[in-house]
Amino acid sequence: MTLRRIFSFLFLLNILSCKTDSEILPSISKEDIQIKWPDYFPQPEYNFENNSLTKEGFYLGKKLFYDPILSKDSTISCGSCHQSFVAFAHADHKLSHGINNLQGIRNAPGLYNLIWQKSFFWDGGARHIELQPIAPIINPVEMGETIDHVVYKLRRNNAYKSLFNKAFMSDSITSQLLLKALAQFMGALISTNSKYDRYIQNPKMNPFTDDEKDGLALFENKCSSCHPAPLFTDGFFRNNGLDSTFIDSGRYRITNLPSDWGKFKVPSLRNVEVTYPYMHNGRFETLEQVLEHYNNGVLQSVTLDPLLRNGIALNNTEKRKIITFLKTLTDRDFIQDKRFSE
Amino acid sequence: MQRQHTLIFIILFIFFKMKSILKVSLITLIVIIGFSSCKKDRKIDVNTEDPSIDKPDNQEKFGTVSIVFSSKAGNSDLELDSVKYTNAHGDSLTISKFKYYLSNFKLIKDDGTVYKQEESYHLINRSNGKTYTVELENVPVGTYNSLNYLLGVDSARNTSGAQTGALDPALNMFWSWNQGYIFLLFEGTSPASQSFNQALSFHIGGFTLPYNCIRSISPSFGSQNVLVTEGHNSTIFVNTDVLKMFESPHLIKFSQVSESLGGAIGSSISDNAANMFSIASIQN
Ligand code: HEC
Ligand code: HEC
Repeated sequence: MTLRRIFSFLFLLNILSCKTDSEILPSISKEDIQIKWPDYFPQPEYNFENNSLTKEGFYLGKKLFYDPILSKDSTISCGSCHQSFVAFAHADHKLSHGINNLQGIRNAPGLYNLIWQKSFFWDGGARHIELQPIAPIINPVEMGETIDHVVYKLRRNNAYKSLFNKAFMSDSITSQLLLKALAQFMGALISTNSKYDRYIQNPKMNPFTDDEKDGLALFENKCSSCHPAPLFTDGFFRNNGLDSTFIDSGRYRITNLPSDWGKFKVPSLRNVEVTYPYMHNGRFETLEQVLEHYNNGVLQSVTLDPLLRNGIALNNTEKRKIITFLKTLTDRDFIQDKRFSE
Repeated sequence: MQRQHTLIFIILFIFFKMKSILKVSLITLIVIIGFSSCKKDRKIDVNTEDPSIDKPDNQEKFGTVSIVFSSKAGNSDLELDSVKYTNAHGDSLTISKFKYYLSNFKLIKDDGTVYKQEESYHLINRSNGKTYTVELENVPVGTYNSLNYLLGVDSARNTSGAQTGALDPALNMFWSWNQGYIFLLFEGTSPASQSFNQALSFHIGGFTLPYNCIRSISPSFGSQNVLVTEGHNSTIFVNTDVLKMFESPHLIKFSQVSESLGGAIGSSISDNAANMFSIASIQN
């Protein structure tokens, strides 16, 4: 090595060593687990800091996600309610369905692009991707377990002993490592390859039909104040007029602020074609019903979003075109990705 | 980590190639550039209000300080389940669970310099013993005239991902539905309680406004001081009086308030709980 080479090497090391969050390149990779996103995406909220994404960690997380060992009676896994072929929503279930046929109070949302989310659940009650899984594991109507007992079961399982060891170089299985492994799997669920994305990246090569173009324009005009691209959610909590009195107090449950009554997290609309039924309580079966709601079903209440005071007038052609556009947000590669499915 | 690697490379390099002053000064330049480009590095510093933190360096001399917390009900040792107590309002009660988090221990010298315990998170659970001891290591010698800690877990640690040790969620001091740590957990019974089975259940937590339940505690040393001398241990004995949770400034009547999960009541109980701690004695 010449002196100059050594200097440039040292210099590079210095630069690398000083990378802050905002400087991370839009790609995190390790062998075949590589996550990347188009440059029109913002910086993620979760950068796998203190939990570097590895192939071993990802596959351990995947095994845990699909293993009913996390539930009390070994009947329900995360994957029971979050199915890969519907972008990790719960196919055909309005409300979640846990151990002993118990029913929850909310509709299971799709799981993708979670690393861009500031909070989780319809009411934002979970604030970190690593901590979120504690809720379903200990919820009596979901998996009905205790964290302590899950860790105990995993420790007695030889296969897990060696998998945790490989993933984290640690001889002991802890709740922390369980949660980190789940976060690696869930964090790697990235959906950025819909027809819409290909169109944005290269409209000449991947053109939209006239209806899709009209639908996009209508969407930008009428919906994107709450569902803005590229995530198709602004991440805020809003009341879109589903009810005038609230059985489920929504965001209020978390903040205790009267101004948050009946507000729920604006959901992403990526893959919305397959994540039915819709809304926090699975109120609507079809996108037609959703659009009719915005057109003519918005109910007044004190916390109703000001943008929806008069609803969103839509004629039948406009509704059809918006739905045609919404279907361009379906990411078949993601839904069919073998690395993610059971 | 990577920065340490860089330094090791540089040191090795100097070691082998130290011939000309030019080369050495070039290396110095690289080191300076390296460091200055790191200014943006985020530090995990939970309490930013103390710029004067004492960082041990090699010339300094150190001692240790133990802080022994004893659970009390009034003036007597707290006994779970078996003993009937009376709160300030005159309601009778028994206590079955009493646990709380203390975090971010600091000792402050008379000149204002601050010693901070690293990774300072402690779960004190009466079911695990009558006393709990916090051991402060590597405390620079000197005269300390105040002690400060948080009742609860600082907001940063409530939101920085999966934790272990005292903060392991398996310890069941973590809320899953409105995620964050339960700072103070009290369960018992009172004939005055209107809840099912005359239960008392106060699970206090929450770190966001308007009902932030974290409290900063500085129990008074009176005229005493902690004298830290080299290689020597000093002990601070602190009493935690559980009945103070219901006394002042917000007098709690169990007929009106018998349970809480944070919120406005939680915040009032935290105000009260901040007065649970008093220094019994200091042994230097
Ligand atoms: C019984 C069905 C069920 C099981 C089992 C289940 N979930 Fe869920 N999941 C739901 C429901 C319902 C919601 C929405 C809850 C809410 O918002 O209150 C949800 C929400 C989520 C969210 C938040 C998504 C968002 O956009 O906010 C994540 C992440 C998640 N689940 C991951 C998991 C993991 C990991 C497991 C396994 C440890 C799991 N789930 C087990 C039903 C389930
Ligand atoms: C004022 C903000 C706002 C506007 C404008 C808005 N939405 Fe929504 N949208 C929401 C909120 C909030 C929810 C979730 C409500 C709930 O579940 O309680 C939602 C839910 C949805 C859902 C259900 C998704 C799912 O996975 O359950 C669809 C589909 C949807 N919106 C489409 C649209 C379309 C299309 C438009 C434009 C015509 C639109 N939204 C305009 C706030 C808005």
